[in-house]
Amino acid sequence: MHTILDSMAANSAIWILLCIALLATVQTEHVSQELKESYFASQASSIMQKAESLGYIDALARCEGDLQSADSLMLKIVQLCPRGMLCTIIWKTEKGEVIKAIGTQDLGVAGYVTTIVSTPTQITYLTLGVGER
Amino acid sequence: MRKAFFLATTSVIVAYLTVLLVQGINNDISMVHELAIQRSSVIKLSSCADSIKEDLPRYLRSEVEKEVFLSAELGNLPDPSNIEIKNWIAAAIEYLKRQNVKADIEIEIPVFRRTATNPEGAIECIVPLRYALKDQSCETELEDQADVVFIVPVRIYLISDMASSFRATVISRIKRLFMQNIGSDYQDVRKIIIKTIDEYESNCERIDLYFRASVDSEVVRDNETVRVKLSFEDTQITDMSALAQVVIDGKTTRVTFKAQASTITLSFKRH
Repeated sequence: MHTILDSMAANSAIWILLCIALLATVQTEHVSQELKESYFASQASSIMQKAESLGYIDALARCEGDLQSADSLMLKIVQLCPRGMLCTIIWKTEKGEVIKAIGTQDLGVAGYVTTIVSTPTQITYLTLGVGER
Repeated sequence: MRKAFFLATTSVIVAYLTVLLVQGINNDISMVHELAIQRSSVIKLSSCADSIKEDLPRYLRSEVEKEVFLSAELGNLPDPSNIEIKNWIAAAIEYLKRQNVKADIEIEIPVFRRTATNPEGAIECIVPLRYALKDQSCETELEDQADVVFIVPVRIYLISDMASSFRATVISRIKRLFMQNIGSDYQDVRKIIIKTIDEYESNCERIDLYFRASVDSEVVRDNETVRVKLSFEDTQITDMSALAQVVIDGKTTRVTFKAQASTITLSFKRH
């Protein structure tokens, strides 16, 4: 009788241990993803700041009707993305219509930054996403 | 049986210690998780703040340029109360709301002043901005106030200064001509006017300004007096420098400032 009880206790203890270890792994994974997203968001934010300081966003605001120039400017912004990372950039109107989009649409774990861009005729949004390759 | 008892007891102790260990790790993980979320939130808020600080001058520039253009046509300085800001504030609040950020944005009426340094005499627009952003997902807050400053590269003061200086020069030269010789004829008056206009135009050209002026004169004589009637037509000036371009409704243009026409009569008496 004692042997059965001891065996049950030992088995339960091992199962609890396994469950907790699994839970910790899942949580660690979750935190790791959150940290990655935060890191990518900070990368996206610094790329956006750099693009702003180089005048790319101002230039983009001015070429609202000229999609070819907009395309080359958005490419320039994407090129500011560090090596080993993937970038996506989407320019939308206030109503959510896509004016122009460049880059991989599905980035997986990624950080996004959206900035407001006033053009001479309307308010638009520029979203930059940075993720791992 | 004793072996099984020891095994079970050891397992329970190991499991208990592991639980404690894992709980400790879990607490750390929770803290790291919290920090990660807060870091993301801070990045989002600072990015939003940068975005509104960068976009406000972009929006205002076109509004101010429109006002400068209109006021210049009328020969006035721009009126800050004509600058429309409400639409932008509404759009900025909506933009922040979409990112789950509650915003309170206050913008005061812009202040205009002339720049002292390069480009000299251009209009500097100063807009006091105050904002409070709150990330609703994790209660992070960011409050700041800053002056948004930008330059409209249009030398608006030059027309009034140059028009009055130009008129004063024409008048003083003609005065000098008649003071020295009351019998001066109409051709001399004409020559002086043409020479003064030419000098002004070339001086302006040297500093990238396109100056246009036209003066009609009439000399009336009787036995006692000589009257010179000078009619200054609209004086115009356009800043031709590379910077002095404004965008009105998406089109690049240059502002032409105009000074109103005026007429002056000079009388010279014979002694």
